[in-house]
Amino acid sequence: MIEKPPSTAKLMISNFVRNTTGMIGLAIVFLVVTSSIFAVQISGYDPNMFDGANTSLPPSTTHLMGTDQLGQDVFSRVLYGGRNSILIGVLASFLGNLIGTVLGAIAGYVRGKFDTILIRLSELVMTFPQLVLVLIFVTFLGQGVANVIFIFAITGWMTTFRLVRSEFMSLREEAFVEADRAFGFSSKRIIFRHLLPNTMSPIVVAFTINTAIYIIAEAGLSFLGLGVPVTTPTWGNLLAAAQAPVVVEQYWWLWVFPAAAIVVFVTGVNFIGDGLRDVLDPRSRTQVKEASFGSTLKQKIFGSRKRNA
Amino acid sequence: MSNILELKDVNVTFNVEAGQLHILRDVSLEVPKGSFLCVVGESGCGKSVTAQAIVQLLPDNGKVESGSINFYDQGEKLEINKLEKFGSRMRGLRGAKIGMIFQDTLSSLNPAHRVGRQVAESLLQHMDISKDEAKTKVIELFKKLGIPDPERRYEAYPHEFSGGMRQRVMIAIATVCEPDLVIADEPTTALDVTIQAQIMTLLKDLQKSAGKTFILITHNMALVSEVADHVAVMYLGRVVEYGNVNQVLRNPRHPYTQALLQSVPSLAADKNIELKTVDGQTPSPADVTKGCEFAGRCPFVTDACREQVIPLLSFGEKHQVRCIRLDEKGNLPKLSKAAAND
Amino acid sequence: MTSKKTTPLYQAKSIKKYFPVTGGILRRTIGQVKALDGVDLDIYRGETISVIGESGCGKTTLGRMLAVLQKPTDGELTFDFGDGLQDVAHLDRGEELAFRKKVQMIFQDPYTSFNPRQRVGVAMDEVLQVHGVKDPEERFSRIKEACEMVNMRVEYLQRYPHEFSGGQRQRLAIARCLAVKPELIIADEIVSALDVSIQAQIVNLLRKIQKETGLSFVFITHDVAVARYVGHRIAVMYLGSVVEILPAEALPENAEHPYTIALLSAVPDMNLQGKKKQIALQGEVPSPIDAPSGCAFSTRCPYVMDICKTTRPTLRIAADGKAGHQVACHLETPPTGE
Repeated sequence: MIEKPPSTAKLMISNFVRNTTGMIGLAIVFLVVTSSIFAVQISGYDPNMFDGANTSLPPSTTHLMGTDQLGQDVFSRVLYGGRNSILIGVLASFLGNLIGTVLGAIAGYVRGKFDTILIRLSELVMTFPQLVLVLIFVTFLGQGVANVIFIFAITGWMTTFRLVRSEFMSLREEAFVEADRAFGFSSKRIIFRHLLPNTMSPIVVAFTINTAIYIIAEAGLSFLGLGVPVTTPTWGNLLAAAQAPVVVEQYWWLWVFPAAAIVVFVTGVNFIGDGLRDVLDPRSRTQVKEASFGSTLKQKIFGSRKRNA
Repeated sequence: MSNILELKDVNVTFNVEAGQLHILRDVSLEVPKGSFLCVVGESGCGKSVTAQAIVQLLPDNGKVESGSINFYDQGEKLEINKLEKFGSRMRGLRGAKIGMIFQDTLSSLNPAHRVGRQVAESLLQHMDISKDEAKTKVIELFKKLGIPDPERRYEAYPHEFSGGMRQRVMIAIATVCEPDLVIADEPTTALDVTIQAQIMTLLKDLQKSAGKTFILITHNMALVSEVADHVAVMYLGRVVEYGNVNQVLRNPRHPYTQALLQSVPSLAADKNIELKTVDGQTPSPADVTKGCEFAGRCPFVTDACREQVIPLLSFGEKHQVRCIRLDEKGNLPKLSKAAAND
Repeated sequence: MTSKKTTPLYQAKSIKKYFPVTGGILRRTIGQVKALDGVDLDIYRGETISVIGESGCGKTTLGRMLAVLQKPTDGELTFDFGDGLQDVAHLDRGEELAFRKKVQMIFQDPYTSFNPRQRVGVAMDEVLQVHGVKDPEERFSRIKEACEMVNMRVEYLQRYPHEFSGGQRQRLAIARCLAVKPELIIADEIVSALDVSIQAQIVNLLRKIQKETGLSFVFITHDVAVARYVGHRIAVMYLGSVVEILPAEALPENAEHPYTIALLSAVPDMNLQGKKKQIALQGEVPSPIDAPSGCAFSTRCPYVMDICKTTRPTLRIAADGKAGHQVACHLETPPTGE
């Protein structure tokens, strides 16, 4: 009887499908993720299998990306390493975003002492160089995939926190929030049921950006020998193996391919982020223009003039 | 009296994503020198676009498609729509010969500069005078416009002014070069009524004492009744009724003008009588068909109204109405009871 | 019935709301904005009281006080739940819900008063759920009834707020309040953002609803003519105080406070040209931070006397002696204007 309009989710999906950048990103990410899951099947080699007879071979038809000094297949290791790297990036980003979102939502809506304490805390964490902070944590907690995820989340929630907090601070002044309060809605309901969906687009975009950042950070950390133990293949650890100048010069396939994998995946994630930003927030493209209308109108009237000080 | 401004069959289109919108349709207006013309209508009727077209300040996607806009500068005829938009000739007109006042005073003034300098700047731009002379002139003008403590105010920044005072500063900018024509686009919409009354008295004084011509763009019919000499009522890009203030407000002929007048309660209104409403919404300019723009909401509509472009008919002395349902005397047919109660 | 008419439904007694002004590095309080400086207002059952005044007079703050969206700095707010007036400024969560069910508020901006990501039907349903209407059938029939009252088709409730025009959204906001079945609706400038022909639709609708349901309304507006047309009584505010309360019919001829007369004379009106008392106001409203100590209007009043600058006038029976006409002015005979 009543014609049901398309749901928001459906509309967004159909918009995203039409977004070229986003779809390219999605395709890249999907390809990298599935091939890292089926690393062994695709490459045909066990990433941890030593083959003393075939060490340090350049790329060939049998070993697409060559082999390392221990005779392990690089292609298999790059694919397999993606598992841990992607897991670290996605989980750390998710956890950090979760902490930042919840704290930011409450701080931005409730304000008061809670907000003051959190904002000072986030400032404190931010004034510390993140790398130094991570190093301190690694020293205490030790290496390992879970620890790296935890450390990234605990040192990286502030950007999302500040973002969500400022969004909430402006949203709480909107008339519909006032109306919600006049209807007697509880703060919990207003924060999580009404305000959070309105903040989703910056949060989702922050999530993709952070994922990319953490994958690169993991690589950097492992390169320094402080991330995941060398025995676990990650893109970072593969790169770390290429520290020696002789490797850089002579065994280029050992570092070029993991680096390429990082670049490809991070680009894919960033593409998805760009696509999502367009789909979730069509306003972001027009706002600037409107805001400056008044002054430009005046400038038009008197024409462009010399700015004599 | 001779006209200072004439618009003849002006058509304006806007390019938007979905295609081309026809925003102004055959707008013709004559503005006698020294008169006070009010252009009234609801949002989206094209009244502000008319003002923008006159000073060639349409947004980048807007364009005067056809028609002519003529401005008379001491007897010399200038075809505004043939001048280059930002050429020296047009810039010489804007501010110097045609002053402009906008609704949004805060964003029209530069927050980083002292108010006095912003007013003096347009003097220095258009006239060959020294900075000190300009300052003296501006302070004199501030005094005349009722800005208290003008010497101190000259050095103040826009945020130190109230909305009403900022509007006075805008009026100062618009009139400092002694333009013959001033266009005011909803100048008092953001202001309180007592401040509105002060500003309107000021504008009316400028018209009477300095002989300036005013075009006031507004949605407020009651305000029109207090200041206007001539009134143009616009609906969806067309002038539907034009005449002097008594003709249009005391003896409205177009169904839209009538409805508009009866939908605003007066302080003397009989509270037992319902306000007149117009059914539905103003259609989007994209949905306009060839007939009368008001046909979809008009209680007097007939099939003929939808089939042709409605001509502007004249009644009495220059009272023009765009409606084919009027008889020779200019009266609308009686509505049947059922339709009237609907 | 008579007792219901004589005891108010809602009473505000000497309500004060001060906002601190902070300054300096230590953000110390250096002054106070007196948004409301002792407001008394009785709201009776079945009446619409219009609150008028210019920007900064405190009318919106008063609305927020009455809806208990903010707590007053000082003063009493008492509401009659059915057995006499009870304090509502300090309620626990359960009592607050009971109060909010009785007193609803509609806001000025129709474009932001609905959550942009929620279908309007869902928004209406949620309000009823929060107020404990458990049966979905009953919720639907209440929403349907409310929509019929505002001439809105139920099918439209599937849509999102941005798919409606300003006037439609304001009708939906009214319907959302009506569905809760309140006793008092506080409407803050709900027609000022609308075009005149749409404004007329909403005004007619409010009057119809008031007549049919017998609800009480507090209608806050800056438009004197609309206030007179919608309200039974008018409260005129200036700089945080109510300066005059009068029956709507007494406007415009019988206004007695110099500010009311000045306000009326500034309102353009094509039917009353040259027929109104004229008081032209000079200058602007003083800042509420350094409000005058005596009568708030004393700095701009053409009839100011010495007593006005020192003693604040309180509301008293007006000179015309009519019931319900009160004025806060030291002048014994009302000014005649120019």
